[in-house]
Amino acid sequence: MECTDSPEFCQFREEVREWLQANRPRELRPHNSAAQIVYDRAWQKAQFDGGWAGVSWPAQYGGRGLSPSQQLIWCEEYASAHCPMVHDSFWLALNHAGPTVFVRGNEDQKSFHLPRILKGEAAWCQGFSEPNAGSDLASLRTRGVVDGDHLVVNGQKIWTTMAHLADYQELLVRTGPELSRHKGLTWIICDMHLPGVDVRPITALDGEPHTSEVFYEDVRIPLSNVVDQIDNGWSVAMTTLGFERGPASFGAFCEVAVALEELIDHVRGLEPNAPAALRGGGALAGRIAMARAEVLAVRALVYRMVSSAERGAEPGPEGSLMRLASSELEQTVMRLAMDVLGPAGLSRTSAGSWSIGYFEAFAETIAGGTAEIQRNIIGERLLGLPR
Amino acid sequence: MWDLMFSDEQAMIADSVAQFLSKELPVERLRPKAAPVDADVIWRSMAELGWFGIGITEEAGGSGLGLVEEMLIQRGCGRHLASTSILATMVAAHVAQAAGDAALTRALVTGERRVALAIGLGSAGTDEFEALAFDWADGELLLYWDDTGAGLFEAGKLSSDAGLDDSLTLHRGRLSLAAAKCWVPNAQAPIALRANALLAACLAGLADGACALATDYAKLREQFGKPIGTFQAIKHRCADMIVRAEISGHLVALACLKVEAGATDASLQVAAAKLKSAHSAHENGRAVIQVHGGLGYQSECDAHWFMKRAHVYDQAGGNMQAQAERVFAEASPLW
Repeated sequence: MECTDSPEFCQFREEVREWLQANRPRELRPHNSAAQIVYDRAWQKAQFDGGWAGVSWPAQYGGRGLSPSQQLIWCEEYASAHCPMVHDSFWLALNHAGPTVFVRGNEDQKSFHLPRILKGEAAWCQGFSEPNAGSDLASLRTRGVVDGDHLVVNGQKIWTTMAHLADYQELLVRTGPELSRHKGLTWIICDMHLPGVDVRPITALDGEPHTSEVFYEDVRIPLSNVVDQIDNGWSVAMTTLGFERGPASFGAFCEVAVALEELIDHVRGLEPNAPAALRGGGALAGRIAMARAEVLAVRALVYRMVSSAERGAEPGPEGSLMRLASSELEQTVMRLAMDVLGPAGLSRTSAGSWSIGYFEAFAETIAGGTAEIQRNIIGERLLGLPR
Repeated sequence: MWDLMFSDEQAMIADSVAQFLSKELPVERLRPKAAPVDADVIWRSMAELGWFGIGITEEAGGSGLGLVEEMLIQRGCGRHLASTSILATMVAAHVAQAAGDAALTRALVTGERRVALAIGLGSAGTDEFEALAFDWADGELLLYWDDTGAGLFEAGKLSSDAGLDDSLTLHRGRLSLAAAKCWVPNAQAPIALRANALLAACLAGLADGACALATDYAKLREQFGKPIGTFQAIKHRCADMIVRAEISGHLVALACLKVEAGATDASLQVAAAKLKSAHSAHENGRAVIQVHGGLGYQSECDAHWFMKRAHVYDQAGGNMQAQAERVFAEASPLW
């Protein structure tokens, strides 16, 4: 056990900080979808050109090949530098589609897709949830039927984040019999521009089209796009979710840690006119202190996960612990921000990015497996409680 | 760099602590009809294992290890609801050493002298104030600390009181800062910080112990024809307990490392660790009673001890309110 900032890491942090300061986009991410994808691609391309694309990816797949500790330093500096939010249209490709392809895909899939992601040429979305298959993912019904060297897909996905901006999709379809559940699923790479793919954006509670319905009508996907084997998609999907629930949360967590400190700075700026609740010993001050302690506790968990990864351990069910703790913490911090803002929080103009963060936090305990599913996983796999 | 994994030696210490406490101080010993344990024999065994001097330099008779190793012992003590005098004696050895009393340091490290934990009431920190003492026996010194420093006191005559946590005996008397046998200001040695980090370890241990007890029961107890742990109402409560216990434990470990390294944010980390762990211990203490249903309300069930002990560790060394004020006031902890 130790906790000291070694000279190498301090130097690395300095290098990251300087590069981000010099290269981060100065203008805010635009509001309309067409402009967003242009913005996201340009930022990803800039990171690629600077040698910072795919910080968590091994060098053999074109990534920066950083150690787990360096990845965390990247996430910390990224959040502090006010770079675009990590949850942009490349987040999924960088954090779980790409990693799934390099762990489970074949050489052709790797050499085609991985560079496109890193260079900002291909954004990805996830096609798992369906109208009748949410938490019960294994009940999904979108059909994939082999016809020659193609898989012909018919059905519907829903809540597909960034589908309207994505070029490819992690598509999970039923290739086995109707009631085959986990055993009859296939994980296939779907080109979102194929004929028969129909994306219909849905307006989220903040007024933005974060997710879409995606309809598939006789979509012919080459069988060469199957990752791993036909009917072995559940195991590939668990690889994907393992990435999503583990270290992929670090970036968003660092943003929350920075947000809370900004909230505290805001409160300090109010003195001496701050309401009593916001002064030391006041009710809101107490909640801020508790949130700060929670941030430090989750950060200690992050350090622990990084220490374990440094020793070569694979991420396990403790990823659910991280996912649950950090997503609920994000909601706590954003709700606290609304209470600190008081009536000013009622105006999206006055609240600025706080209202965006407040709204988006509601998705955090739903996406990638709801908080309830994470609690099931923790209860069953960490504590050994019966199913 | 940060490494929050135990070294092989630390893992061995944690294992040996867990084994010793499971054998000598099982929580079941506190049940109304349980055979009494011989506290003096156990105390001597702990001394022989080197617990009281594990963080004291070898020249002064200790093992020359650090706060992390002391933390491993205290986490176990919290989990097993052991006497607060173990923590008090361990910390007292640092006070005696910093005060230059070699003979007393040695007597504490060898277990020859015991020290009881004292918590100030009301006007604590003023020149003379009323204090509570836990598990004190005639002739033992008291350990008291606050924001200004830590010291040892001759107890004189203390009266008996009925404690909220009746797994510890409770006494009350008056302390005078001016009459301290030895007093080490914080500027000289951050002993108060050490002591609070160890209380946080006890609290994290309590949270962990409560989680284990609730989970074991949820696997065994059947209703509606199946173990109650199959029901999400129970399973999710247990999941929340392990999340709280785990992240509190990691935070306490990090806080100990910060104190050892003399980091500028050590004081914030310790206050956050004590605040978060106290919250976890209180919540898990409540949850373990609830998971046991009607049984959880009874004295024969082990659940209530976790709830009661959480109050003792919380109030010692500055309670949640005091820790929250410190966490709120400190500078940004970011990278």
